[in-house]
Amino acid sequence: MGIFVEGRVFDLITLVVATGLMGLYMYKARQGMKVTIRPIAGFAAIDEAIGRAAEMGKPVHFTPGFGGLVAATFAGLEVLGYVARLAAQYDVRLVVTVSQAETFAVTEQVMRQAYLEAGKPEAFRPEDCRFISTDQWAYASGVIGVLYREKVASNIMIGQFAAEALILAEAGNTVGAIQIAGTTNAYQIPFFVVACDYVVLGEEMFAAGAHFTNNVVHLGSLRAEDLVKAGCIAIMALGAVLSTLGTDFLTTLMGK
Amino acid sequence: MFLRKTLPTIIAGVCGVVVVIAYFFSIPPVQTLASHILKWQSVIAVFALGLGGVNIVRLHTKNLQRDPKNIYSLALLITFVVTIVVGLAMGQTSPAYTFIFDYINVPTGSAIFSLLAFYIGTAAYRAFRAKNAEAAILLITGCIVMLGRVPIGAKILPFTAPATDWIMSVLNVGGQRGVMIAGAIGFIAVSLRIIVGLERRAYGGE
Repeated sequence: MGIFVEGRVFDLITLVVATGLMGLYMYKARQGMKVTIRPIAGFAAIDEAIGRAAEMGKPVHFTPGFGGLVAATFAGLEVLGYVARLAAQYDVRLVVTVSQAETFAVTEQVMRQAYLEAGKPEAFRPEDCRFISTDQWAYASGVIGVLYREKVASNIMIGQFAAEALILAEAGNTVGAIQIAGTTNAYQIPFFVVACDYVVLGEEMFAAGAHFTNNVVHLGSLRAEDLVKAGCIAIMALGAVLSTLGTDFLTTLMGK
Repeated sequence: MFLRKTLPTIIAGVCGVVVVIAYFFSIPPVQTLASHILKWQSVIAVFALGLGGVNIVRLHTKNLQRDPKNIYSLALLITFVVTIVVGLAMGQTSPAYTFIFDYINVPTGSAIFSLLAFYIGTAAYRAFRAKNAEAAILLITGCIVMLGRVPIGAKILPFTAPATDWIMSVLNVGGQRGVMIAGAIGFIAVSLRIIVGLERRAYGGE
């Protein structure tokens, strides 16, 4: 294969096509192409969650999960920016818990910026952005403690979650908080579905930027993502047909 | 502005491109550089851990100043300091440090993990109520899978074992793969926006 790493050529072509489409549609969106997105119930409920906390005079809890600086965490931080702005506007205390040290520094910066954008930089309390632990179960117990001690009115969990997901969601349910959760981890989504009031399912998380800010770059990127998904579905259908006909042409091509 | 936003954007972009090139192309200098970048990532993460440690000490010291009877903050600070002192003074393989890890850290972690069993029960109790059509489908499917997964279930209702296999290998896998593929495409989009500097939220931008 020479210059290419064996077994990754098809992956490279797919990445180049996906990246090209995303670049093209981001450009088109900047040039004024209209892109609309469907309402996402989980995001729409955030206003209700903050409003509830304002009425009850209790804090809101947010956590971007157990992941480091991965794409799901960035999506969670996008939501955090909106939540923090809204919390600042309504004078609601926002408590944020973080499990990874590198995420902590970024999270604090996102909160600080959101309070600044809301015109209330003085309302930001650094002690409300809390690093808990990089240990999964220490993080879970720390968040449970925050939920119980702060008696939160709303619990928002959007980011990367693993086995601690249900523990956090059930603790939030026990304190009677309205709960909005979202993750791309397919194994944890069912837990959130049964334990939370609203769930942002997998890829919907990545629409956060487009949903909250109508950012044209995000909207263009979403349009491209839909096209790539359509391409994936077409390849899967073609693969099913070819496999039924007894040819392994596509699997051989994808293994190159 | 340059140091806070522009420079991090440039560094993230360059590092991202190098690591992607090293993954797909067999170019030894680029692959060496990529492995260095991944090592630097670990080093930077350790510095960030220091920031996290400072946050923990600051927060719980304030808690104690406000309420000297706050035994949780006191316990945390004591264990925090003891673990660091033992680790630094005696080493991570010393009997004292191993004792802290094996007899305090591991059992407390296991205790929290074990809560999952009880929470699955309470969550299932709430979820498995046929309030509407979707909840009824969840209830029926859940009952079939639970019966099909235990030997006595297949004895009582023999159809549950093959039905469980079908539910798990067709419906469940299909749904999960849909979530995974769509999630992966979203990952690519976010990563691309970070590499080209359009995902400014991470640097405190809009």
